[in-house]
Amino acid sequence: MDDYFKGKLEGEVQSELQDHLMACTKCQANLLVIKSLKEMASEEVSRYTENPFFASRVLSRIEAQKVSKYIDIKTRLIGYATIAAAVIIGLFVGGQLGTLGTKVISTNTNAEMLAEEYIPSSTESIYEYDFEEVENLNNK
Amino acid sequence: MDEKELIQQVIQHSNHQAFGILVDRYSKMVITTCMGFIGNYHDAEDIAQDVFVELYESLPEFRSESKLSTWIYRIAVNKSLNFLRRKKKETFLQSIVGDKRKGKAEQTLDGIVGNQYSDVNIEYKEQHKLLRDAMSMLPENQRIALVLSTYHELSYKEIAEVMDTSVSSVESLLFRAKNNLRKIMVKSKS
Repeated sequence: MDDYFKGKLEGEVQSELQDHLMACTKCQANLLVIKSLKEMASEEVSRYTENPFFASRVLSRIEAQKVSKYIDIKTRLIGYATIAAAVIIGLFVGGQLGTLGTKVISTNTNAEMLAEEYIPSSTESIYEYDFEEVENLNNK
Repeated sequence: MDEKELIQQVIQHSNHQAFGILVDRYSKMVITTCMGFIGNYHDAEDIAQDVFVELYESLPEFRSESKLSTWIYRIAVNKSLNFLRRKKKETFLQSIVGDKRKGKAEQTLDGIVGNQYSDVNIEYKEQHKLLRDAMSMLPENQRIALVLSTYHELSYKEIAEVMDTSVSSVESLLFRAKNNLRKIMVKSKS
């Protein structure tokens, strides 16, 4: 059908196809589709007018993309460096604070003792009472 | 300067002037291919710019075993199909949310573009619109084969190279594409 439309068929083949086309509505519709497609394509292609700035626009986009890639890499590197610096500073400060805390605890051992465990030396525990002595006193 | 020399200049020396010559040589081919898929000159030109930017980046990977035009056709087809997929998604989402994002200026521009060809035979225009709508309903492979065959009259062999398939597959794709177009158009007319 394409060849018929392009005028490539000749002689007997062409006349046979023409006879068929006269009788077959399906092939008539197919031919119409091919014709419409070709018309649409050639109309759209002919409407195309060359843009004299097209190439320069493409080139400036390529240039802009290069610059933005460079900036992107630079920004990323600065970001990574900032994070690394923050981590190092954090570790250093944390280390310093940790050492300071240990020193405080080691100089004041009483601070580690719980309040309920603490019994002043002047107070007697109830477990230390001499019950016999108390009974004797009562009998008297 | 022949094509191979231009390519070497771009790859080895990032020669923009040489690439500019390549752009000039292939811009019509790329823009009309994109038009075949999209049917809108402004979008087609934007996509064509993307095509050339990608060509510039991918040129070092290009092997001279195949033709440069085949390589460019491939990029143009992929970019156009990606654009259509994105547009389809946006249209679908806008149909749910409502077209609130469209500004007044854009609506005015649509009006101007819409009226631009009002003097063209309306029936002719409607026939094209019908055909374009029918084309958008075709499966992607059939659409690619149809656009390359209709807009650039590429041979089955050339289409097969662009689509990375066999000549017989292209024949079958084109046959089915035309049959499907006929069916869709008959259905939409009735």
